[in-house]
Amino acid sequence: MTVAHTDVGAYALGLLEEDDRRAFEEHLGDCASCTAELSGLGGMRRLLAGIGPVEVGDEEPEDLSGNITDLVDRRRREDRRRRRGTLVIGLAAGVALVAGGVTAGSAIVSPGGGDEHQHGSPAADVLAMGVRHSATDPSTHAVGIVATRAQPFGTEVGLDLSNVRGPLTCRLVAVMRSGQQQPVTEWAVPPKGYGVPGSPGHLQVHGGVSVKPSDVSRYDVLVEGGGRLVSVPV
Amino acid sequence: MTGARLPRVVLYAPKYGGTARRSEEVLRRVIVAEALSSLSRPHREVLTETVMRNRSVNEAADILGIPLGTAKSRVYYALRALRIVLEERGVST
Repeated sequence: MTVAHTDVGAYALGLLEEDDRRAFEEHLGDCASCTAELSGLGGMRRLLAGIGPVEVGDEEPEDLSGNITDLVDRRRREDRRRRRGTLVIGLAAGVALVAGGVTAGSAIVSPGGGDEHQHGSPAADVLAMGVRHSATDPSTHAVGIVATRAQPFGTEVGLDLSNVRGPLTCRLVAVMRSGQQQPVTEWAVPPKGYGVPGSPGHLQVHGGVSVKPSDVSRYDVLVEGGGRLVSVPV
Repeated sequence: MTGARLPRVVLYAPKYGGTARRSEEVLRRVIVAEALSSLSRPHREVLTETVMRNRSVNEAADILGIPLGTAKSRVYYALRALRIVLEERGVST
């Protein structure tokens, strides 16, 4: 298996399959330029989240090599302008939008971005940068996305939970290959819920466990009083 | 499951009301979709067949009939191109 520096793009978006992902993570440990590049690409994953397929038109494909040459010049400007981790959309961009009867103001801060993120919402960071796995429970219909990132202490874990109504008290546990469990974090779901009509925001929580990512076989969202909302195999 | 309890740990609280959040979400999607449509076809295609359709780069390579290495590097250049288009539209990533 060969690892190329450009694999960082597919890695940043969570598109590599298991073997390639492991190989790239090994490479990442030794490659400062890929590590730097990766941190710059984290925002793209957030931006692309939930965007549906774009119709591919019939026009002739452009010459890719031309694009790449062009990129080199543009990249210099881009590097100067880049402000990592924030997403500020100026309406000066020429996009006028009225949605749901609300006129967007002069500057919009993205969900999951903005102040929360500038101050480092750890859940959003892990979800953007970590290795992601998702599952939808066939009976509760809850949707869980778990993202993990190896850390010196063990594993950093982020959870994005949606299609859930409350009131509930929940906890996220890591179930290890040995069968043992470790708690990750706990939270309450208010009656209006998360990621449902009328309450579109998802719940994002963050925590960690003391074992390596590969020691965990799945993450379960458990409900106090018994029951499981969703189980996310990793 | 009866009665709401005080959260023991709440690490993320939505900052905006539902409508404002939704309009930002719509705005993000509109801008990103528009930026995607300005990419070259191979770039747009590879992002469509991977991240938009929840496919691995291996699956997308099969579907597009291109080598895996090509698909991976195309994802990379597509991301870079997309970021530049977005920045030109006032979106910093």
